[in-house]
This record gives sequence, C-alpha cells and structure tokens, in this order.
Amino acid sequence: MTRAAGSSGRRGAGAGRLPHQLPAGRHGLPRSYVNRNQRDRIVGAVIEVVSRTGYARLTVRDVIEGAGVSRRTFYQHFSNKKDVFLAAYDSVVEHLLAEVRLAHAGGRDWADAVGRGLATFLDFLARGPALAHVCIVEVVAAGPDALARRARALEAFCDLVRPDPAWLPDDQTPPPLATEVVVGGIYEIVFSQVSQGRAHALPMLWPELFLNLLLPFLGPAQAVASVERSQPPLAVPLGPRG
Amino acid sequence: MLEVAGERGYAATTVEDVLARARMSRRTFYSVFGNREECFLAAYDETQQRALDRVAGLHTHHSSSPGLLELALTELLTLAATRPALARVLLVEPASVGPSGIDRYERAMGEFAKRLDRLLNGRSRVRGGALRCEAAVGAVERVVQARIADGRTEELPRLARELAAMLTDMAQSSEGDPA
Repeated sequence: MTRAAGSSGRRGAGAGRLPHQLPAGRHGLPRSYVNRNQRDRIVGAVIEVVSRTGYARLTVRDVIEGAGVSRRTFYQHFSNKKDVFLAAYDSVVEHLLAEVRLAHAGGRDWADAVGRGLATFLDFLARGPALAHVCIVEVVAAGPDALARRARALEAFCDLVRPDPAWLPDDQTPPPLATEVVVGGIYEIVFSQVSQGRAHALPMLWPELFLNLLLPFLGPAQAVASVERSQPPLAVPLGPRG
Repeated sequence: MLEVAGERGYAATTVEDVLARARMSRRTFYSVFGNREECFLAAYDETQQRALDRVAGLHTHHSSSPGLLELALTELLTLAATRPALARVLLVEPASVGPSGIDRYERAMGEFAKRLDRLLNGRSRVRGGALRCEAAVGAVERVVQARIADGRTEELPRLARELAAMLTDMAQSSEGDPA
C-alpha cells in the first residue's frame, strides 16, 4: 500500500489533487520518498496554518486539509498537534541556522562574520514572514517543550556570536554576560517586529542591531567603524556574482 | 494561583489545586473568576504591578541614572532569586496560557522598557532610544529565563552590576549611530 493522498485520492483520476500531492495509487515511488514527502507536506501545512491562526487555534484537521494527507497518514508521522508543531519548529530553525552559519563562515574577521550572519538572519525572516511568525512568535505559545527548544536555538546563536578572544582588541575584555545579553536583545526586537507583522522590515534594522551587538565587545569607536566597513548589509552572495 | 502556577506551571495547574491552596469554595472562585485563565491573568497583573512598584519606589530617593538602574536591577533580580515562583509566573508561564497570556506578557515587558527609557534617556527623545530599551529589557528577560530554566536563580542578584553597565551602554549608544 503506497496510497498517499488519502480519501481525496481514492476518488481516482487525480481529481482535486493539489500540485504538491503525489498521485494516488501505485506510483512506484520508494516508500521512504513517500514518507519524506508526506512529512514535508504536513510540516509545510503546519507553518501555513499556524501563521494564519496562531498555535492556540491550530487543529490537526486543518493540518490534514492543508497537507492533503489522510488522518491516518498524519498519525503515522506525528502523535498530536504539539508534536507536529515542534517538528515544524525544528525544521524552520534547522534551515535558518544552516543559512546563518554559511554566511557567518564567509566573514573576513569576527565582526564581519557576525554582521553577515545577522544580515542573513534578518533576511531569512523577511523573506518568509510565515516562517518568522512560527519560529519567533508562536513558539512561545506552544508550552514548556517548545520553550526548551527555543532556549537551545538561542544557545546555538550565542555560539556563533561569542568571539574568540584573539579577535578582540587588547584593551577590551567583554563582560561574561555580553553574548547572552546581545543575543537576547536582538531576539526581543525581532519578536516585537514580527508579532506586529513587520517581518519584512527587519533588514532595515541591520545597522542598528549590528552596532548594538558589537558594542560590548569592541567599544563604541571600533563598533561604529566595523559597522561602516561592513556596509552594505548584503548577506551571502547568492551564487557567483555578475 | 501564584503559588501553584509558580511551582508546577500553568499547564499542570487545575482550579481544584487553586481552591485547595486558597481554602476557597468552588462557588466563591467562580463568583470572582470566569475560569482558570482569568484567575491566572489577574494573578499576573498583580505580580507585574508589584514588581513595577518596587522599582518605582526607588525613583524618588536617587538621582543618578546608572546607579539607579543598578539598584532597580538588584531589586528585581533579588526578587527573582528569593521568590523564583513569582519570577516563573512573570516570565515563563504566560506562554502556556495562550494568546491572552502572551499579550499580557508583551505589555508588561513594554512597560518595563518604557520606564527604562525614561530613566536613562529622560525627557529627551533619543532617536532609537526606545528600541534600544526594548532590546535591553529583552536581554534581561532572556538572562533571567535561562536561570529559571536551570534552577540557578540564586546567582541573579550578583549579575545586577554587570547587567546595569551593559544596559546603560546599550541604551545610550545613540551618539555613534552610523545609520
């Protein structure tokens, strides 16, 4: 049995099939591919539904409808709404972190790497306001497990921001809490922008946020100089340039 | 409600638990609150107000703003260290209540940010000052939340000085604004 599209598929002739749905019946695709595809569709539907209704009003029924899978398929992959939400959160954060790490890795020095990472972070959220809403705002509504995931994600960002002491000017010893504080501060600003539906405007905050990030590590003069050097805030070069 | 939700979290708190702790009849409870959520939100408002009052009381006695900020932070962090249940209700549990809780939480933190802005920037409207204060409050939230999460609230009061210094830098860094 490799039926993927559930009850709607059983009507046959592909009627009512959405473009991302697999054709019903024997399509000869390997089982693992079908599973992957179903799982991705379910996760995609969760993001779409949650960004529209919020986590509190998320229902398994809406997810099933959005993903075009059967109830049974849904429960083969996930046990409940929290479970599926956490999977969606993990998937968004994984992509986000991967992009940010890539941009960060291309930096000339610590400040430049952090600036590129930050620009990519803001850009990712601006490009996908639904993703932004899920991973920044709604995660707060999904209970203690979700908060623990968020704490882990923040920790991952802290690891990217924390400078190797070798990069810092000799006369600067950043306070031990500096990394936690700057990451927390940026998160707060991003949270309030995204929750007001202003995710698209985040990249414009880059100079301001970048300056705040550098300040405790470099001191005012060097922080300003670094921000100016890193203009324009273009994140990763998207493929080989012109 | 404060006690029970602070100990085991809002999600695991039932109206029965609250009744038992408050030695109150079901009927009395429902004559005051429509449901568990309403009761939590009332407890939340009260806690937040109490925390704000503690800080507001300091204003009248001191004049230098960085010193005052450190004092205010010491006050709040000591409150969090000695009454971790209160801190949990204020900073962690609203998330479990749903949209109404998150909304309350956002407003409460906004109020703290406004006070910080007034404290550090006075009446002069520093460009970007409000945004920085929001970031500063957010930073303290994360630091406290992380300590609540791994049960290390006792170290919070010791962090007041360092935090105050960083927040002052953060909130007042507008002179060098490159934008």
